[in-house]
Amino acid sequence: MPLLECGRIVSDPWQTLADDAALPSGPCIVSLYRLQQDEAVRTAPHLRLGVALPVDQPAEVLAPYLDRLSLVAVNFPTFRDGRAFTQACSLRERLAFRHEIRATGNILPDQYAFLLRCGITTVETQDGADPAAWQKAAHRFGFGYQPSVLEEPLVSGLRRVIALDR
Amino acid sequence: MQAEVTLPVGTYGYQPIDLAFLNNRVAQFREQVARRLSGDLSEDEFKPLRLMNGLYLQLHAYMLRVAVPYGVLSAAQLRRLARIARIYDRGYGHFTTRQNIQFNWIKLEEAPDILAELAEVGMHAIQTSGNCIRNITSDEFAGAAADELLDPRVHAEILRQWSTLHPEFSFLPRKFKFAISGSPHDRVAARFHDIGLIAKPGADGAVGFEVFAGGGLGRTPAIGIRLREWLPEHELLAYMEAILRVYNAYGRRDNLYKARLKILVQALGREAFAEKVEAEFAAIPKEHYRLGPEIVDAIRARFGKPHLDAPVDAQAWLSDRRRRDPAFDLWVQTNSHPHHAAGYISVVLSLKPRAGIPGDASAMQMDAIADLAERFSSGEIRVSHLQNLVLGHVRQDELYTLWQALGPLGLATPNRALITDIVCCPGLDYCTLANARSIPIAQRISERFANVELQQQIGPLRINISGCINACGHHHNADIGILGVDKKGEEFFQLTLGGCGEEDAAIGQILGTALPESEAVNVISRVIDTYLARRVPNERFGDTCRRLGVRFFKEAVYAAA
Amino acid sequence: MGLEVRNNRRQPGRSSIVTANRLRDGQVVWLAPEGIWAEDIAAAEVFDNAVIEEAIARARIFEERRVVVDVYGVELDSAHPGLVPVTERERIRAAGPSVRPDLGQQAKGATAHAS
Repeated sequence: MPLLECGRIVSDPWQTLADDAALPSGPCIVSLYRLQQDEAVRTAPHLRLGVALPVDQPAEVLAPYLDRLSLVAVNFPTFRDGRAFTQACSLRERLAFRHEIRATGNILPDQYAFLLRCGITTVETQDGADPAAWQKAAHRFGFGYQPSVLEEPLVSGLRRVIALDR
Repeated sequence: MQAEVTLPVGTYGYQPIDLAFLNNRVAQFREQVARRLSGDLSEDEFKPLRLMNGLYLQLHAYMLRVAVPYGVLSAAQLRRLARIARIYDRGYGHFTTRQNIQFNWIKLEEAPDILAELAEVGMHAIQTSGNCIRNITSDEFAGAAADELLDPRVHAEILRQWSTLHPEFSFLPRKFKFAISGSPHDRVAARFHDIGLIAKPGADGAVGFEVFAGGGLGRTPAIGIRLREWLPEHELLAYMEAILRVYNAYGRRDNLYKARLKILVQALGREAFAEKVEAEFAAIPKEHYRLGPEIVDAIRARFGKPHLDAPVDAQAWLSDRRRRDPAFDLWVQTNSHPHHAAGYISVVLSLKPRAGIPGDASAMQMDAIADLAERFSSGEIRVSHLQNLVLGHVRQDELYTLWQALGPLGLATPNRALITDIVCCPGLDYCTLANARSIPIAQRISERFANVELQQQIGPLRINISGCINACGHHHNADIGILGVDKKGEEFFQLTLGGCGEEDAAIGQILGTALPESEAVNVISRVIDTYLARRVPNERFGDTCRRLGVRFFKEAVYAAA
Repeated sequence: MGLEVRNNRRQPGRSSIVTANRLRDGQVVWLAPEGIWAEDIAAAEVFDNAVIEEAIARARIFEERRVVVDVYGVELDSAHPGLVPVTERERIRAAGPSVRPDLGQQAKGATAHAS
């Protein structure tokens, strides 16, 4: 599945690890269950670890593990289910998580600016996705009317510049 | 004399950056429509996107719900709505119970052009539908009423902006509705909204809010719980973020009919819900979300001020005219509202003419009202959630001339808050969700009680009609509520009694079994007869109902059947 | 109320017609012979209820082709001559709002029947 970052398809070093699979040497995303249950996963030295946060769990369940995580994947079972937006915002704002937040599942390019302003950094898109369409959607509006979890320069009044490229 | 030409009175004056935003939104939607027509987007993908631009697929065609933020329009905006009605629709619009306007005969392929024309005058249909934050409604006498403590419309605008394309809250479990009032007399039914705010002044000119949450009507009406008695202005956005965050995270996603905030509040219990909100609020970085007075002032500066400079004898002039013209006197008595400024008055333009369609206005009427607003009310028009229009700032010595102009337009019906001032959803004549037609029974009641003296004798009495259990007619909040139901393919009507949307909030109780239309109207007549026979002097219907109880009426009325 | 409930009304021995809304303009349309979607209900092709589900399934191709949205079946009232839906909702949908006889198909002098 093509990985989108800053409006471009990039290579994806991460693999998703089944609950019963042996630990690899490269970066791997485990289930929340495995993260909580498998001490070996948490303590493996030099292992870049990510977790797939289930859509119905508050981001706070990851609090005990954050210093161990390089990636959190949040999921959209349908594009209408917006819980992942709150999970991402909580990770950034409440939990001060600084690493990659990846959106997976069913997402429309029209949602890209929302994803980015909630602190999501990469998006797992469907095969055949057009990065140009995503990038165009992200830059449709030059500003937002509300604070976001990003540091966005004030324009005037409530308006903040939407500056999404890193 | 006119108010400032540059800034619209009573509503936010868009700056070029804001108009550019609207144009970007139009361009976005134009592309989304193109992708739908080309097959790039499926209907399933397109539907939430078009709903977030106010476009429904309804019984006869697409229906477009245009936003009227906190119910205020400038004359230029109302003229534009008239033009939309004429060019793109069938020459009329319908004002809704959330202060918006609906057009019923819209073509999808013309919707982007309509939105482009609306954008030219600072209007849009952003988030008037969909699972997002909807129109923030307010008091139709805001900024004018003598009993108001604070004009809430600046904060309504702040909340509107804050909620517009909010990145975290655009895909909520369900719709989310705000109401804000600045009067202790709650004319906005704050306790029946997802979030209801009562703005109040505090010590040293500070502004704060009483916060209610988890109220609503619909299938399971509920009165909101009070979360805060006093939320300081600078914490407003942070606190709203906290509530929305809890709702977005925990609201149900599995069942459309159990997804509103009120269900979550009931499921968790008020204590647990309040705790979650406070915990979320505690964790929010206050400085980042601070609503400083400089921001409030910057937005307030974009609101024009009404012209308020009446001659000293304006009031005497009005009194004199009232003495000399009984029909005018009646209209003033019924349809006016006291203004805070000497020599001024607010008036209700009733959209409930005898046997008319409640809340509908023709393009011709809209244009005429725009002209009258410019001439008599600083170019400002208000839309009431009771589906009437209001001119807020009329000089008392000009009121008679205004009234004379309203008569021929069919806008001078002296029935504000009376039994024929009926609130009515579009019903089965227009709406795919309805089980029964609502407008014909409204028309029957309007005819039955058309006599002006009888209406005056009955006094204030709120009738609301909904064509289905979704309760867009807000029938739960009415003295007499009417719910249309489908009984074996026939239209039947369920009556409720004793509802109230104001600060003494109450949900109406069922009066008896559902009845066919003519019997329902007869039962209503018997309810009125019972009231007239049993009331104590000067007792309003609502008070008599409270005093005697719904069961008393039930027995009196159904026994006679 | 979803399409499922509406599609459930299928009395044996009765007939139904197929309806949808035109995608581009939302116009109520009725499936006529030869794959034409007509604005006048009188032109609709009548199907026995034994075969209506098949007809609806076939008509869904027009959703794929982006001609219409929301294809479903409407049962007819056998007591009436002409094509009159059983439900009030569909009668209003065919004719126009009962409170505005000047709007909708009814204003075009069509054979639509308003209750």
